[in-house]
Amino acid sequence: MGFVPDSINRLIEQFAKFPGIGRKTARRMAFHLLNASDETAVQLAQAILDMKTKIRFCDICGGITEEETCEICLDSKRNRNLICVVEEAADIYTFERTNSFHGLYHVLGGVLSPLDGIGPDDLNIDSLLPRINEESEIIVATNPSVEGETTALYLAKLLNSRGVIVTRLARGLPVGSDLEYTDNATLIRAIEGRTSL
Amino acid sequence: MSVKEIAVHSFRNHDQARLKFGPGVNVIWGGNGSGKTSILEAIYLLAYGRSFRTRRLLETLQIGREQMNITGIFEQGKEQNQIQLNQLHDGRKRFILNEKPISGARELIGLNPVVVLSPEEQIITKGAPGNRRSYFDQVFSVVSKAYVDTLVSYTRTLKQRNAALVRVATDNAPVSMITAWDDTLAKNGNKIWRERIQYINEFSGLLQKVAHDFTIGDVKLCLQHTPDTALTIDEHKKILGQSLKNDIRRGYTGSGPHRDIYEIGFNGEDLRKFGSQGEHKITMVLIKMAEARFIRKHTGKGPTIILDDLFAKLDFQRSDQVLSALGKDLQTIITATDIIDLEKKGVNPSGSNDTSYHLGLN
Repeated sequence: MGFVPDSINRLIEQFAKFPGIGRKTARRMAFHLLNASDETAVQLAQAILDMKTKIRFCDICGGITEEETCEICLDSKRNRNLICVVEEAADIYTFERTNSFHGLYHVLGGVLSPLDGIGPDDLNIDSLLPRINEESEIIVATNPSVEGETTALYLAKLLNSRGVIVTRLARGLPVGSDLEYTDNATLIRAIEGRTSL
Repeated sequence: MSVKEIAVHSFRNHDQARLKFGPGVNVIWGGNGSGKTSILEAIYLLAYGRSFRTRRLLETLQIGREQMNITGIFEQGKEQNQIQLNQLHDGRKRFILNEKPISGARELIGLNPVVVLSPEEQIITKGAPGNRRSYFDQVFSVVSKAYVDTLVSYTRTLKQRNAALVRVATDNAPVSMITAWDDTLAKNGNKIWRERIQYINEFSGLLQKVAHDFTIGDVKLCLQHTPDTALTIDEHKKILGQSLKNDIRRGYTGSGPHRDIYEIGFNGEDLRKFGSQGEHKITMVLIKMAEARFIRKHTGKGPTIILDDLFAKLDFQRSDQVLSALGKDLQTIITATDIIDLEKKGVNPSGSNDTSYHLGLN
């Protein structure tokens, strides 16, 4: 795109790096900013900088916070024996939205994936060990992918040897769905993971 | 099950073509390079989501064209479904089932089964062990979605473990990077073995029966599946542990279902080592007959039989015997260079359920 000035092109390149944003959308976003007020642009730039400078990882769980320890870890009303292990910090907010989990979290920072060079030593597993005791239950909430499953099995083995109860999120039918429209893989797993009434 | 209609656009050497098929015998004939096999390839693409001729679908798009389209209408009893494949020149492709885009080709497998007998398929009896593994994996995938899922998970796990082996050998990564995968590998591997053993037993029984019936006892076929190493999850894990050093050295996991061996015995001899050309051909036909029966038995759907250039290659006296044994009450689509030859061999597509197309050179 030789006819587009370089400064706009650079912005388009930056936007196009975002997940879910293609070149067309990136172009629209860039031209939207061009027409927006200077104030809008400054606010956007400031918000990005603020986030990058203020946000840090919680010393205990690895979640995101602006302090040393996150609000969830400081909350005395939460069940400290129940720890939900998630892949990414963003997963915490998925659980928090439900308003029905009152334990703590632990962020692994990824899953086992040698193809991406990630082994057990590259995950935040060591920091999980001091957090557990004989009364702990660890819920492994990694994704139901091959990598997520393997990470869950690895954690289970490690923690079971320390006498901790390790559980895994169930897989099955989505709420409000219709059996007829459920894909085969989900249905097979729902049969495997059936519960007694 | 039958293919009712297939339409292609900018696909291989067809600018545009639309063929309608009857539920009986359908013949597509024309000279070399007139695009007969491409029509069969188009049907196969909609049935399996991939081609039997190439791994790179983009190759099938005519040069200089924006996009390639294949649309097929399949009939299953009273139900009809329409499948479309749309391949753009920038590499994007999508499958559309009854006007709704689907997530991947995996959803198509087993929906409209076809059984192909083409000269390329001869690698099933002549080729390396891997060729037979992929063939049987495909047949089992048609009848079991669970098998497809396990196979995909197993392959991914294997890839991860092999990547870990390389990391440990080259970057001095800790061994736990590898062993963390042993549980998943053994678990998925065990599922594959259990299904393979059950299916291959059935398949082998069907194969013996069709061989006996078709050759009036002249040919005895025996299909043997030798699962690699262990069969229980714990035994497999133990072997993975024992061969860890070797695996690291080779950068490759040496045991598991991906090393299974299938052997075909022809009248008591190993076909791959001792079989003549003719023995390979007849075995191929018999395997395909067994495949059609296997699919019908499990899915209740009679597959469409696709015969590419079969009669030029087979030295049977009367091809109609092959045809009736393979096809009986199944839809059959045949390609040939000359229809007169075909008629001489006893194939006569003149019934109300039959069709015949002549493709000219473009």
